[in-house]
Amino acid sequence: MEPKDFELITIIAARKAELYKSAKQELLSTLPRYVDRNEAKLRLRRAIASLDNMLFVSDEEKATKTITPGVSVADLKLDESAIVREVARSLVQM
Amino acid sequence: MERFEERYVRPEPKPQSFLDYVGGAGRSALTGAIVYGLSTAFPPVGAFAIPAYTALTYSKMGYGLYKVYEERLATGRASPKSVSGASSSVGEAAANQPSDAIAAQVATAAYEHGVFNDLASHTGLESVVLKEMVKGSTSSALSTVGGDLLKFAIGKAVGG
Repeated sequence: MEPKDFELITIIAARKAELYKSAKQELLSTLPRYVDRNEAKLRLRRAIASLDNMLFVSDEEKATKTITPGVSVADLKLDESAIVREVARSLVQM
Repeated sequence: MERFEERYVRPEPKPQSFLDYVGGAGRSALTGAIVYGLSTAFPPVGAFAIPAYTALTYSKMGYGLYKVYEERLATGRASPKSVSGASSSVGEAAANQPSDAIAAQVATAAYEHGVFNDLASHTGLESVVLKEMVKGSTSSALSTVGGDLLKFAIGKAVGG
């Protein structure tokens, strides 16, 4: 592993963190008040963190073999349904 | 004599475990609710939650992570042979894979060295959240399943 590899990891991690930040609000709003919110947040964080990195690489980036920093998760046109499906699956299994 | 607190102050109910709730509410119904909630979690197109000027921050953070990784390689603490002892020393959820244990060590050491502080201050993301995301992303990159990432180049930052 080289410094460039960790820079790539940093970019992907930031994309995951960006999704977590907004997903957390949405998940908490779906839960009844009596459910442990800290546990839910922790499980969501782990579920998103453990997703395959390639889910956070756009088709355009795959075609050009180039990751572009500074692009929002929304602008990447990722496969949202695949990400949501994987997160939901992890949340109920972890 | 009955104490005031016992008579008038009801104790807060203990929160129900998220997993217990999942079991009790019906897994498919809850999954549907979560899927709906997460589907609306993607920010609208055009939103730049992480601005382009953080490109330099990515480089610095990536180098910081590399230095931590290199240091642990040099001391033999990030080699697959050291994994069995590694997962317990990290003090987190038990690692199932060698890549999980190495990633946990790197992320934890980087967190303790303040490697995530710069990006956290630029983006408003919590360092502990970045630590978890770096851990998962490093594990994915190290494992054969997600190893394709390392074949990519890094482009010029949008708007940078």
